[in-house]
Amino acid sequence: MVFYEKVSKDLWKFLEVCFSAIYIGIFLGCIALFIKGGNYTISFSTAIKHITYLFYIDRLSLFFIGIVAFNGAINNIYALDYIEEENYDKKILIVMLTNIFILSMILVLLSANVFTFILFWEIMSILSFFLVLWDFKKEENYKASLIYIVMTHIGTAFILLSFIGFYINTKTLDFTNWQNISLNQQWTIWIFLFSVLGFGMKAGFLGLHNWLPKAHPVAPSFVSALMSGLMIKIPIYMFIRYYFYFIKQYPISFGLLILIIGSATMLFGILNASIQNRLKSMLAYSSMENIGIIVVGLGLSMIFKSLNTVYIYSLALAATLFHILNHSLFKSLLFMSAGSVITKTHTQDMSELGGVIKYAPKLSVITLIGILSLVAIPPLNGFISEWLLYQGLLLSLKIKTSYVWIVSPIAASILALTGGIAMLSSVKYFGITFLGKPRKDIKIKSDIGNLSLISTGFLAMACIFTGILPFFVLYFINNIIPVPIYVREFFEIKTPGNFGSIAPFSIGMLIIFALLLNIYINKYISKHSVYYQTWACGQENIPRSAQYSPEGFSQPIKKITSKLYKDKIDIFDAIYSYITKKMLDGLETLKYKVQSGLIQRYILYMALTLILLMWLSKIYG
Amino acid sequence: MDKVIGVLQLVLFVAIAPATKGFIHKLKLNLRGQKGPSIIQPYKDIFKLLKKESIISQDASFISRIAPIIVLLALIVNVCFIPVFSPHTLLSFTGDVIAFIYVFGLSTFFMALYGMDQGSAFGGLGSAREMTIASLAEPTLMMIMFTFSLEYNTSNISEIFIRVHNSSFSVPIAYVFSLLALFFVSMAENARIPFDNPETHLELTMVHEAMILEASGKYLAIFELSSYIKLLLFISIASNIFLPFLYSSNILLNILFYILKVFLFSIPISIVELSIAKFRFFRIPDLLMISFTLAVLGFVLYYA
Repeated sequence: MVFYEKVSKDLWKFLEVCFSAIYIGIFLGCIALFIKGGNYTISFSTAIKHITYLFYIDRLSLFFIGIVAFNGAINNIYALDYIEEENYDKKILIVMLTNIFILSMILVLLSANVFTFILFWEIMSILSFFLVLWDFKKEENYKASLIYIVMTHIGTAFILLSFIGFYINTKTLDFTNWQNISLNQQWTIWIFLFSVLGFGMKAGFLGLHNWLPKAHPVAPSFVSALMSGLMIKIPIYMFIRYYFYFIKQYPISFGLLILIIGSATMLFGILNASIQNRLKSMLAYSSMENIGIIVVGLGLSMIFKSLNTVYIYSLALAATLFHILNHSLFKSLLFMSAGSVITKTHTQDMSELGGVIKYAPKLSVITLIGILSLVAIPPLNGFISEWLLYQGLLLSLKIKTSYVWIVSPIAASILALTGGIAMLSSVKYFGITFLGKPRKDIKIKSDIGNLSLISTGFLAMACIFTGILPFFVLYFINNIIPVPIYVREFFEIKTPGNFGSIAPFSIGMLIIFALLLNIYINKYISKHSVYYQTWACGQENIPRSAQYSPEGFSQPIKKITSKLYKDKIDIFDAIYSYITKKMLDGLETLKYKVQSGLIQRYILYMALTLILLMWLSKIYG
Repeated sequence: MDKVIGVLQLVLFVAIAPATKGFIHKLKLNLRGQKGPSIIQPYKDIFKLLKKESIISQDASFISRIAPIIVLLALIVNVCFIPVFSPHTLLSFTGDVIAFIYVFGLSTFFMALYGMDQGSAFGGLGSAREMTIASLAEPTLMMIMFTFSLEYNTSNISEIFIRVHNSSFSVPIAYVFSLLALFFVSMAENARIPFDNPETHLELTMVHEAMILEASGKYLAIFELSSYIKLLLFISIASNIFLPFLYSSNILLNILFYILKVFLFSIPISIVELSIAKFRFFRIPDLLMISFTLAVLGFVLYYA
């Protein structure tokens, strides 16, 4: 009996490790299959006719599945520490929910017909809803999850509409039969509209983003890492499927519109990230910014797909794919490290935090790597993808197309502005939280767990590795895009027409050399150093509240861009709160109508169901 | 031979960086009617500071120790990108304009972190202001770089340098606008009047000085040297890209021309500093907006 209790108490740990092993297996399998190449179709028929599970594997889906599996494996290891620390009541439940969520993401990526896709898409959405709602006693979580579930279902409705558009044109529901179809103008526009609304809702495009900054901060941190690092990339995967695999031709305006949406999303996201005072809210808005960057790449490649300029289209798509990988790595890292800080200090308010670097130096170094990757500093991975994107934007100006000439420079300067403000918000995030002195009486009670250090550290290593040696990632990307990017191993990456070239390995080695030099110089300097209080105009023992506050830090940028904050956020908020309220009220009324408690009604339902079933068996039987 | 020239350029650059600062300062004071310290005063300052011990805050973490050196080394990496008197720089094979801007970001980032590290009220103030200015200046810098890389069909700085010197003045008016924009940006990035006053330690005017207020002794020497190098970086970009004549095949002559051009481009800085006062902080975005507009004008004129 004691044994049984012990086993059931630690069963969740066993499950985590098992799932982790499964994901590592999937990850290695993905790499092997990718190198082997080829497309595979797997189908499972069900008892009902016309409904089969259909899965399709090609290199694009393998790339995404690899990212999901890699992050999933690390996430499970981190969750071991996190769940132990938080000490949830139902440990097995949250483990199972998270892992079925990860598996459903993998299955969505594999799905090759409408039925399979919608099934797993819904499992993914609903499980993430439950995970957001995990701490259901908090008012905030409850509200956030309601907005999330309503918005995600509106999105699903639009996705279904776009599928119907395909169905009407091809008379089939299999994705495999939708490859390279040419649609007439009108249907292309409808499908584009539905796909932007549907997938954009999940990805968090500007105007459709409202659930994102609400749901990500309130979920358990490892779930936020999954949602932010992986889940919001899945609609982007579907975008790539739609516009590079399914639809053969579409007007240039689609790409332009996507490019504009992306620019707006990233600017809005980063401006909001810079004024957030809570750790995970800042990271959530920064996810929105990164989705914007990804979408700019996507839009650019769509423009040149419709212009048939294959080399820019490939370059921009490579930037998109690379940034998807990068964002999944560093955003998972940052959410996990934020989670560690929050579980140890029991606050995620920056105005209370400070000086974490003294209690958790290792975690701070790891976070610093993540932050540097976020602001695209060489030699970390964020830089490579932004460099590819800038090169794409620059090369696009070589093509004499009037609209691109207007939109591309604007997108490039917004990208630069976004990069600048991203640096501001990262300095704020790291500087306020980790540096200085604690602003309130908070201390990290015990050391950060080893497993969370290992998992975040592993992600940090991955960030450095893909930054210094991007050739390994580009090998995979080059097999997906039509015109491979020129890569000389360990030496340089070149963009078409010898326009730009970069040697990430050399820059990386140089900066690592600089860091080593740092140690030696500091050894010398610290011999001649004296330690004393921080200078404060001659006063001694100044209170810690004299430090700069997070509000103060972002006040200049807030004041400069005040017009954006005063009106626009509230509009989105009001609209979606209204929709959510209306929908939930409607459901409530419907519930009372359907479940009226009259016995006659229930008999009617039974009779109707019977008739329906008989009719169905008549047709398909 | 290329590597030797590269090292030579780096050494020359670092060697004349303090003199540039000294020259600007001297000229400014002379125009004001004061005598002023000699041009070699910055060298003396650095050596004096290097001899002194550093006082480190008890609240500081290792960031305070590594940040000054990272700032300096990142700027030196940037120097390796920039052709001083010859296109053969140490990093010409990877001298991409975008890489240049982002390595530059590395130094800004660590400088700002240094300001936040000791829990001082001034440091945070400086960091917040510096990051605000830097983030608003970045689009302009990117736009100028874009204009030149599109004009010369490459994003490699050394290639741009070669092609600038080989081609005739094709779009002079675009040059002028870009130069003006670059002038604004370099004043902003180097914390000079009208964006910041490098000579005072008054809270109202502090941006750069507030961040490094806690630095002393050897660390301060490193910071001072970094700020000299940063200033010269911008002057070099301006002088080498915008004044492509005065360039011959003789290296010694080129070095001489380079130094001449640097001093030539320092003159407007001291004149501007002399003639206008520091702007209120919330008027800085207007100035940066003007510079961005100028950069866009240059960019548009390249097309026309």
